[in-house]
Amino acid sequence: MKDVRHAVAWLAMWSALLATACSPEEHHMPTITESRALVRVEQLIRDTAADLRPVPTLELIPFMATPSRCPDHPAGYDAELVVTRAYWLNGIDAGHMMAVAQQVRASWERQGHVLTATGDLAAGHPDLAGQTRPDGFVLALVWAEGDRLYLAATSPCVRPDRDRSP
Amino acid sequence: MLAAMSESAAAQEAFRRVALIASGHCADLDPAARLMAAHAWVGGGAPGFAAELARRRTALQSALEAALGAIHGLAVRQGRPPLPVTSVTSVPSVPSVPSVRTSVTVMVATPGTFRGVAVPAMEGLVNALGRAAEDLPAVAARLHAELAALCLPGGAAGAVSAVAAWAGEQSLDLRRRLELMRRTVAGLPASDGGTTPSALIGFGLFEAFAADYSGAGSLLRRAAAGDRAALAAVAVLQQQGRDATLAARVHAWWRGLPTAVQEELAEDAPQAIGSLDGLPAAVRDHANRLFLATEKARLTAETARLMACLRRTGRPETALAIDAADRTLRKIAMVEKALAPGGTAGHPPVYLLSFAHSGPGRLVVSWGDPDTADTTVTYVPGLGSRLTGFDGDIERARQLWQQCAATAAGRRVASIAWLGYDAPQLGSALVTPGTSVAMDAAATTGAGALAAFADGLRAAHQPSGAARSVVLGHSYGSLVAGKAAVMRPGRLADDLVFVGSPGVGVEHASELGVGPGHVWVGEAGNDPVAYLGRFAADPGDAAFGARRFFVQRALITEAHSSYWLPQSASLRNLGRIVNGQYDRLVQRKPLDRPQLLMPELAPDLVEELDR
Repeated sequence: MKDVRHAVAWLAMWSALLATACSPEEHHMPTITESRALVRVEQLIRDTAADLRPVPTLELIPFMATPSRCPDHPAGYDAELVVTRAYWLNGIDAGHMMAVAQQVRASWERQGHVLTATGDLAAGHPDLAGQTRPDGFVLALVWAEGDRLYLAATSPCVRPDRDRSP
Repeated sequence: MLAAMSESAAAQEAFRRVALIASGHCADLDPAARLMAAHAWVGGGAPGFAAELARRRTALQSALEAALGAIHGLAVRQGRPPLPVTSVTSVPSVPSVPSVRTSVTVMVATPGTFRGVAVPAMEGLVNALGRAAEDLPAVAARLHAELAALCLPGGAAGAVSAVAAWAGEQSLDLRRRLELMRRTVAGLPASDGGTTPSALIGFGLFEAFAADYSGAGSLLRRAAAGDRAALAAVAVLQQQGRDATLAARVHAWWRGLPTAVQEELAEDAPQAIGSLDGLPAAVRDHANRLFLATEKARLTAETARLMACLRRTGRPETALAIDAADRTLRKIAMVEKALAPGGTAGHPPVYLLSFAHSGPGRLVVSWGDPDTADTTVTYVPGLGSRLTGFDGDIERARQLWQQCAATAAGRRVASIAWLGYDAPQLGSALVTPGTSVAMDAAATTGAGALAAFADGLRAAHQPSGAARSVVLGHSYGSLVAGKAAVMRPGRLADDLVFVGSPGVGVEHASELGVGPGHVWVGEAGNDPVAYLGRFAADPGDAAFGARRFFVQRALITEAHSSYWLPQSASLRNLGRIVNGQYDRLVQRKPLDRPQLLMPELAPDLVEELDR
């Protein structure tokens, strides 16, 4: 009997959740467009990179430049996208990576962004996660094997450009 | 009196000679036994062959012991017990029958699940058996002569002769199979120290000793002869996942088929061939794409025919048939679109590992070649997953591939989206026990299919001592993954990752069969599915024993599907786990000044668990 009650409660929860999440009527289409999001993403990366010393050269990571479907789109809104750009920071010595991470952190904080997560900085892991406020772009400084760093930014769900082919 | 003394001296002398023979040949099967003890892990017929070899080795040593015992007994009866013989393996302090027993002890490293077998080791086995087969007939003859001269029964000589004959037969059969494999199996290395997939050894070399409880071996032989029903029956057996060795058997079967037969099967039954776990990914991809194209052409022609029929007759039921065909064509178009980025803009080739459009459908897509990948991650989706809309799950697999590839410095990653089961659906299925998300029936069925798929990844993988596999279960898919892990302890994956999980069907991580510290759980703070739980213990609870990783906050309506947001903490952590970079995970940043944060379900609990 207890299991039946649990199952019913579980189903009720699912029904309520799905009714909320999947209802197109309740969904607010994002106001920002793909193009504007791309400009913002590029700006976020370049503003941060400009604060680094020495200033690194940026190399696009091509497979991360493809717009992707909004991960939490409700049914009927599968055309929504998130826009991402990621760039390798070239010209940084392995021994200088932690200093770069501190500069990135300072840059984000100076620009009013929020640092949300970090790698174990004490262990020399220069990984940072952040978010812009209030528009909720995701920021990332990521260490890769081979002692490379990349800087990335991702938009929230945005409207695709009208001229995008279906 | 003189004659009696002469007879006893003859027995003494015979004992000395036979003891020398025994000491020289009691270990004749030991090299082969040692090799088999080290390779029985390959499965298939290898354990059976190892057991039979051990039995024959015991028979040889028993026969030598019996001969010595008989002569010794005669000498004792004649009042002249034999002197100790120093050259036998173990010398007793008082005259008695010396031991001819040897021990075969090998240190066997825990085999990696993608490990292959060195071909020279198998050649060594064949040669060792061949040498025994050459030497033992002479031993049998000499034993026979010695025993006959003393008027003793010659059973021991006959037993040695039988062992010799068996060793000879096996040596010839294994050599023939090895040669056949070398001629017919593409990619089997010559005697160059290379390795071959363990499936080919277990079910190719030792096929004669492989048990066939389910009848799959017989079905595969019929399938090779063009019996499509047999092929379908093998697929059904695989979906049940009961036979952990079936994928290896399928792999060995396929690799042993002549190329012309392989091509014929792929042409005649592309969907069945495309769905067989254990076949090379490239073969499955080719067959499934062929099936996709064939179905597209068929449905396009059917739609045109029905349209003409509708114009001619105006029957409303024709419109329904057109609509059904159109819906399937849209599914096919979705698959084509999802596969299109493969090989472009730095993406790896995409492999279509399974496709079926009937019912809720099947679709398994891999970003990267799983047969050559250093790491393979299989994503198992949950509630509501079906062919329609599965492009979103393929996208998730792509996002994970991107994250892994960017941080893994050239190591090859294959990221798979696996719709290989009938996932629970919304609507009336919610209250149907067999398909309801509130019950575990769908997960139990799906677990068999997932276990078989994982078996297939191993069977078809290029041998590697370092390759790893990860299974990532989301939502109800985590229950499927948990049940599959219990079905294949230690073999489903090296790491298990659960996100947004309502429970994985066990009370503690240790029941999942992976090593300590290799069960991971990610739960967004506002994910109601993870919070409420349903199936056994909450994997996010500290008492469950999994390692919890940080996931960013999200709105309650979005949290359950927020784990793959590009560059997010959760996706980055998933990538680190898949890459085995366990000490590189990002953790929640402690708040150093008050901030306005999104409200969170049970924040105290989350805080405690994240600590």
